[in-house]
Amino acid sequence: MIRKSALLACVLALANAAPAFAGPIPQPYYFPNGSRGVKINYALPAACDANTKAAVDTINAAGRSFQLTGTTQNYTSTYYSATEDPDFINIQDGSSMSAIMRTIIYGYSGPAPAQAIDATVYVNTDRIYYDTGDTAQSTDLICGSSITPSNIGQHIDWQSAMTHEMGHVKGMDHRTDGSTGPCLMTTYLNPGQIKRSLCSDERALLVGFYG
Amino acid sequence: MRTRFYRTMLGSALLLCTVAASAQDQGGRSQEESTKAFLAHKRDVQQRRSGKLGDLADFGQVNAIVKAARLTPPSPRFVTDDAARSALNDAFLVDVAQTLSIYGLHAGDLRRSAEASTAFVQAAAAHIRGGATVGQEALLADTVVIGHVSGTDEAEQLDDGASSSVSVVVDQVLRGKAKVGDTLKLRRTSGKLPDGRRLSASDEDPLANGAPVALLASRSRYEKELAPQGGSARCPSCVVEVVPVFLVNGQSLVPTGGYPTATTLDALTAATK
Repeated sequence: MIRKSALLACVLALANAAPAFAGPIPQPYYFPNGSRGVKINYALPAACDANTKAAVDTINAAGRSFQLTGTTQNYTSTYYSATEDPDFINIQDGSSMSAIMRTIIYGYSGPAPAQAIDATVYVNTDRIYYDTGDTAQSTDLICGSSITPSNIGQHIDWQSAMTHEMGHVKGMDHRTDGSTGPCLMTTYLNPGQIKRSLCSDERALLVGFYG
Repeated sequence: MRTRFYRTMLGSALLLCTVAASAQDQGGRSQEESTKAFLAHKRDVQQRRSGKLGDLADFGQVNAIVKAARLTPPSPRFVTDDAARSALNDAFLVDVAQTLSIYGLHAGDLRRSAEASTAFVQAAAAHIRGGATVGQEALLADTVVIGHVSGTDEAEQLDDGASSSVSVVVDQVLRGKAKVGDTLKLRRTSGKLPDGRRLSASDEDPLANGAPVALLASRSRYEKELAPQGGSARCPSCVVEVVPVFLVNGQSLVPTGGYPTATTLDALTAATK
């Protein structure tokens, strides 16, 4: 049974493998064709669900052979590590970490892009539930439907950060060209920045790979 | 929050079978329910942590000092209920006190002076909330060194939730017990699992052999949180990051892993005096 599964995994990996995009965005992982559900943990603010869904929709629009589904239909109170729930991408609380958000991908070993098996997105919810409410000073996360460059202050845009993490889920690493501008997969998202869409080369990578 | 990453395939399959029916397709939830879930999760995390703090009498004193510090209470815009805000404040203060203890700070350290007390409490609060300066992060680190990377080991399994060690040879000690020439093992989430597959964390940049680095790390947190109950004895040189390592480029310390703040060697040296 295990041998058959391993063989099937190898066949799927070969069937999906395609040359990595030759550009400034490494692609260490890919998910095979099909779809994967997304579960949001209850502890994440409900007020941010629409922004999370919008982030997933943005990434889904670039390459359709692998889609993330059910973003605001699946909720869970259970916490999963990246190795534990392969039918779903779990978005859950990762408070007490130094990052605002982090994605952990569980995947096969091998040359890039290697096949991903599962992924978990951790959100540092301390950075929103412990918000001081001080718009001018706070560097905490902010979400909602009316975030603009003029009212975001020094907050960090949830939707921008989540779209970036979903870019990781779909296999992209941080850009290596050192750009700090509007592109999604730059290493840094600064307070007050809104970066909710893919740059053309990022979209080209995903569309090229996922069709 | 660290979890054990490795499960056998059988264990994973059983776990999935038992939780799948209850964990999906449960429909939306209100913000009030989300806040309750956050607080319940916090209670669980804090309860687990409290069992790892060691000297509970000392922690009680740290807790009292934090409560007296009058930190700005949480006030998220989507929580309007006073009781929920009060509960968030209580959870936040416990987090600050636990953070100080996890990083090895005792009531005696905080009582050295009013300035020291305020500085440590503010540093822990900023570490949790974000926006801490490098100087504040350095206050929480018991190990601050300049060194160079001598390799990454993915073979050693220490059952501490980490999957690899980055070896850092110490060239200069700014704080801590390490000596020049010692090799510290920086434990990381990314790496190879016992099943041969890999974990990759988006906030852990690969570190090239020979790369000069500045490390703000904690042995105390490794001992108390990742490898408690004597597990840390298996690796006396293991540490974990307080913030992601900096790459040293002359006087400049360049952040990695998405950490937003660059600094300088002089500033770090001053912060560790």
